[in-house]
Amino acid sequence: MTTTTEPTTFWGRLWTRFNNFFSTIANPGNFLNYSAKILPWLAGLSAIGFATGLYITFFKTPLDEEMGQTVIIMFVHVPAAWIAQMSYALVAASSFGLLVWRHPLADVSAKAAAPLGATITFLCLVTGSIWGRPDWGTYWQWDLRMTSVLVLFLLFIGLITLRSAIEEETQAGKITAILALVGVILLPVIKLSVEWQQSALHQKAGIIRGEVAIEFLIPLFIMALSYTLLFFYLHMKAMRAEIYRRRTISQQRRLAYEDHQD
Amino acid sequence: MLDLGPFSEFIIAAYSISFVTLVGLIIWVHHSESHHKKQLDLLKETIDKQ
Repeated sequence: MTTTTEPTTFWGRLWTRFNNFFSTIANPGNFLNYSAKILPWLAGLSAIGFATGLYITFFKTPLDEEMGQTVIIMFVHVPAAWIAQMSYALVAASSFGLLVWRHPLADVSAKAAAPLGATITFLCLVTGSIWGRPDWGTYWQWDLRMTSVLVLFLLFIGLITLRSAIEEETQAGKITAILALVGVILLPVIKLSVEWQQSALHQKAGIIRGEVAIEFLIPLFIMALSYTLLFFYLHMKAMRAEIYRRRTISQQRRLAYEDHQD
Repeated sequence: MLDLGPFSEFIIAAYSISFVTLVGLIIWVHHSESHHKKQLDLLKETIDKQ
């Protein structure tokens, strides 16, 4: 006979609750219920954030001494760059969850995040390129930062293509997960690329160094928070769509099996 | 309205592309979710009738 005892320490109890929460949310049925409650909040807060961020951007942001008014492109480019990397980290973490715990919802999460990540990485490349023309005099330079972000975009495309090329869904999920984990090496390369290549046109990480003035930091963080909330909204919606799709396929198989039995 | 300066077309291009892309993503996930949900509901209805 086994007995379960409640942990006595605060951290032990917190860990148990954390585990219980994840066990509950990892059930696709529970996920659909919880996400239906969370989604309106994510949408509302993201909309308020964008409205506030855009108002500050266009009516309150002063001119930058070096960049002039083009500095406001930073408020759409930098959040896109952060979310692009975060979405890849999410794909990789979900892939790890699939390979280690073999949980189908982890596969759903990885599959749902990949096209979103690809689109936002594309957005990061395009807005960066548009920002580059007035600031550097060129749309593109093959420096380490820009090239590594382009490789990230191609990696997302590779993950989507690889998954769609393999017919058997479980097999496709596992093979894609392995590629996603190998690709994690790109994230520190993107982060450190501006330090490694001093001759690059791309700016260094000025926010971490405290080189960005507070007048620019406030709208930047509001826009980044709004982007993040919007990303989680899109990810949850895409996960719900994928759960419905998989349920439809399993019902179709059941129906076909029952017809065959008759 | 704020004066966007001599490079206004670049600012407008960056914000327009961001807006169109993000709205496009929202429409796509909404359409995808409602399409798959409808498919599932239809199938369940067929099974129930049988």
